Amino acid sequence: MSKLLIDLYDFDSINDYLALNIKSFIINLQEFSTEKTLNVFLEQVEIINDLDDEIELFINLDRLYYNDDFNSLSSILKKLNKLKIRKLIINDAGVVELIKELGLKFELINGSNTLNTNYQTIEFLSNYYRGFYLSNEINLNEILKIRDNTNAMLMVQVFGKQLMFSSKRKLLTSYFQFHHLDLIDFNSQNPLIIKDLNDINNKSYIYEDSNGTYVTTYKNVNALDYLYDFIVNDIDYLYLSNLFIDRNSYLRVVNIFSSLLEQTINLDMAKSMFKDVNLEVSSSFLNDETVFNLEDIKKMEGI
Amino acid sequence: MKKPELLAPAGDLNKLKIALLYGADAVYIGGKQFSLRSAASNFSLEDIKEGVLFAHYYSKKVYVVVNIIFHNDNLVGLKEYLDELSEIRVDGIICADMVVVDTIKKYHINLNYHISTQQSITNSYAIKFYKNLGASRVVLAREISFDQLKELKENTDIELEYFVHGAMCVAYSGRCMLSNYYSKRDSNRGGCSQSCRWNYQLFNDDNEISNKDNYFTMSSKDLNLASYLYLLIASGIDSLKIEGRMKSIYYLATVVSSYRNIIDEYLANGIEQVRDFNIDNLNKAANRATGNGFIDGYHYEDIQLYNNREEHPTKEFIGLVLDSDGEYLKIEQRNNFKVNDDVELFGPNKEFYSFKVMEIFDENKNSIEVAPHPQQIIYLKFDKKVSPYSMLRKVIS
Repeated sequence: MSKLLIDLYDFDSINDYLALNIKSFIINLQEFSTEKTLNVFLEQVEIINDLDDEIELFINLDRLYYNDDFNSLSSILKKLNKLKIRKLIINDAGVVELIKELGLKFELINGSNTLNTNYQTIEFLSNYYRGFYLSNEINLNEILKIRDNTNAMLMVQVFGKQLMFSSKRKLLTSYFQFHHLDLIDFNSQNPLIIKDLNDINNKSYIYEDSNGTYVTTYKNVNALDYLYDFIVNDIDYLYLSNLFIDRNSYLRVVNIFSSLLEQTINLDMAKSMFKDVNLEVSSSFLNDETVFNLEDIKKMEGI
Repeated sequence: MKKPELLAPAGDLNKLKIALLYGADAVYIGGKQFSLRSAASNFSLEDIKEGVLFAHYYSKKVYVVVNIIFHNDNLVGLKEYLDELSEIRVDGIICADMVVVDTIKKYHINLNYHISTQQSITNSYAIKFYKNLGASRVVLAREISFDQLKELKENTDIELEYFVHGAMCVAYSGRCMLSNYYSKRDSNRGGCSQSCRWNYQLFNDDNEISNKDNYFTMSSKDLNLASYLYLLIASGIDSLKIEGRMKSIYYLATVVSSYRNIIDEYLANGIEQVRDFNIDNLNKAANRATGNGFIDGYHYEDIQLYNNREEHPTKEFIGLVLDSDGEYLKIEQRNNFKVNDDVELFGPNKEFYSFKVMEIFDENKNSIEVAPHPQQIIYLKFDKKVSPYSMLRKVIS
């Protein structure tokens, strides 16, 4: 049975979701994950973990690491193990090797949002990872074909901003310095917006953290229309991101998805309720395809 | 001191020959399938076979990039393609998606494999992971500094490859979907539209921060680590990589020969200072501003392009020498030139001549004043024999 997997705003917000019978949460750990809405310290993980026996925490360690980081990474992994945290989301194969060396046992989720695009890769990497966050750029048919061909735990994003780009470079800081502009906040709590000069539809959020720069979609992916396919095909976790969405709207969206999943409302009702939330949405790549062959590119661009 | 491999890109068979003749120890090429850079000509299997034969004839190597991130539909034909590459005896492949490793292992295909920079390998543990998967080399992330590289080299026992020259992704390689979202072109399957180099308006809520004089861009300067080569060689790095499978033969000849000179001069005489001649040559080939990337740490705006992001394709390359008999040079024209132009001739065997064009002849040996047509066959009087694939460039003061 598919489960909803969600983000938190703060510790208090967890009760809102427990009330909806949602118990799977992604927790971003300060210094070890890409900054999102809520970024916590290890001590705070312990508090959340103790709230309810059925709470399932996915600790997000999705940064790329350098050799200097591995002492602190070892230490945090040992502490997480002690707290009986089992599920880690990672993006760096070095973490797999480190965990092996430390003799620790975790269920590792490969969190790459660009590299998990076919079933054979996932089957092969299942020797090292228990689960996979499927890339945002693949469509419904591709997702379902992956499901048909692997037993790995699969995660798909069904709502929220999608990460498009990550760079080690501090692109906003550099821009402000180069042009001698007064620095303003542009972190995960205060993103800026970029708009393509030649196509106003190409609009995104951009922000920095201590590890670099991130660009996300401006619109929220909304996969309500595809939820039945995900549920009936046993996609294990359906992720709803709260990045750059206000707390109340997010709670309403989670409630809609939860109610549809619990069959207390139907799709029409869900869509109608969703309209009232008034968020800009798209179906992203779920019913779309990208091109890559030169001939297809020329055809698409009318060359 | 260990001599590192100088690894050059080649977009087609002609470029492969030029890169190797001008001093590369190895080239990396893309086949018609499974390779990024869909806009490059790329190699048929027959071309790969000929390229490998050519390289091996001169004791050099050919690596084939099989570096797309596969979608389900792309899996068809992968095993057969890898079998063919093994049969052709390429020296290795460069892959980004672990499906390639799986296929090689599953079917016991005899191929060395290198892990592409698309996997963003930044630490010793990740290197160990890929070594345990059987990789013979990893291509390090471009974000690695020299100090980090040195430490990685000291702590690992598989080959490490490091980018030293050419264009750079501004994102961690393989972790950028701007092109997918903005133009429906899949960057991880060769369709990248380089959206990072576009101009953007920048807003804080509804207030525009940018204006027409300072639009926001994520464009990166190109990499040029010529002056760091002595350090890199001393670190024991195994392979020094030049980027650019879509670059011209002139770019390849210029950049490869410059790096060849710098490496050889350091290894032979311990000369750390790069000669002005080589720096000038590299500058002549550059069509974008260059920087040092991450090698000496991270210096924020120094590695970004802002107001000066336009490309400036060089017009200096005026002809490719097809033949010479000690009396005439037979030349294929590449850019307009005329009588009285000052030119330089340089060749794969370190030939170098400067002279003024006194007379130009057309294909029928009729005297002409200008050579205006691309790929026009022309003749210049020249009393020395030079190597085929030598090149002529105009001296622009």
